[in-house]
Amino acid sequence: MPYLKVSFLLKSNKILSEILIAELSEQHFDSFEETQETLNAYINKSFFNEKNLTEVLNINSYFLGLNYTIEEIPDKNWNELWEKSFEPIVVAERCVIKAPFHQLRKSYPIELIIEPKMSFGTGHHQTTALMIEQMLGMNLKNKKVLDMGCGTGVLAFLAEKMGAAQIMAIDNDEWAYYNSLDNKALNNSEKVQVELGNAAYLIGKTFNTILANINRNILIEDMHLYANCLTLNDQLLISGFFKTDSPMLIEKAKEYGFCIQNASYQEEWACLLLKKE
Amino acid sequence: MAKEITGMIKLQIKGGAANPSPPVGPALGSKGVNIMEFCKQFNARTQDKPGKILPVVITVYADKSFDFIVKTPPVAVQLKDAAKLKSGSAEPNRKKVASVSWEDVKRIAEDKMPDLNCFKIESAMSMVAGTARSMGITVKGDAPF
Repeated sequence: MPYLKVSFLLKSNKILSEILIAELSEQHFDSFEETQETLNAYINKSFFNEKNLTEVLNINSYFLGLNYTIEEIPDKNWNELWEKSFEPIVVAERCVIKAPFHQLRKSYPIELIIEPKMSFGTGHHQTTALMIEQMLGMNLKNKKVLDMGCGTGVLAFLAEKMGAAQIMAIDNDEWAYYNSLDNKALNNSEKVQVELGNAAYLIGKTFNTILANINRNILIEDMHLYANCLTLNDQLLISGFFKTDSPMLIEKAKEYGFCIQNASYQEEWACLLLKKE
Repeated sequence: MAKEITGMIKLQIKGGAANPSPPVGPALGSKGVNIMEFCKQFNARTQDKPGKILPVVITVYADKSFDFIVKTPPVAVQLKDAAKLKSGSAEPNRKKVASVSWEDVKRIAEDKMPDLNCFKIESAMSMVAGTARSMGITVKGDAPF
């Protein structure tokens, strides 16, 4: 979805800039950039309503006579530069994640091809590596697997290579959804079903294994939905949070009938393997 | 040896909500930084302040790595919270819509001292009180200095 950049000419008026940020942040503007002369406020185009902006500017007489310009910034892959030159990643000497342009000098038992296009999941981040490491030690043969918040879909494609019978990959981000579809083709995947949606999509569905590399708050919020999709001895593998947040997640998991099977860490990041009791 | 710095980026982003759209995407992407990695890290570090505007200073190094410092919310945002104010006064100098105490002002001033370029807490408190007035927020009682 394209973004709009609304630029206000403030001429280095720091107080005015701060007050404007405080007001606009309550109107769906999600990020700001202060330059020498202007305050640039950014908003997803679908949330923008110029009438609301005018109302905000009328709230405070301090804003009187304030001029602004609106520029539409087209939706594009801003991560392209990094994606052109990233290095392949090898996890546990068994799984390699590479882009289509990589030529490998040696082969690995599992090879995944990922062209990320501004989606998360290339194996470079500690949490993806932790998830893959744990998955390599799990039995996914003939299992029904969910990759929640799939990003590039890397974990779903790994699950397929590990023998899962049926895999659902869900993300609420459009870039991730289309990227997972592209990567599905690159990996000749036949068993991964990609869906655009959020946790509400899980209601009434069942799985044997859920993979979720998201973040602490969402994992806690959606733990009950994951629990409802699993039955006795089914597994939930989670990451995307700090080691210091593990106790909070473990407590929530126990509340919904999970016990800890394994925990692993890389630097400040953590990964927990939970089993439904 | 210290890593060579190739850029410093200053943005204000909602806690737990960094995404690769502008301004984060163009600012970091043009320097060859992996935007997705920044977003994951920023969102994890700021998850205790979801939706709250947080200034962030990102340092980008020659090897395309980065680190960043997250500051506490701007004075105006903290004042709105302290006054439990949904939006400011229509006429800041006449119609006062909310109030804060001098204790609130002191707490915010202490929190923002490093960013306000003040050497004395009293100067920082004056600046915070000035912002409050501009927002139509009354500071209750007499100034404690």
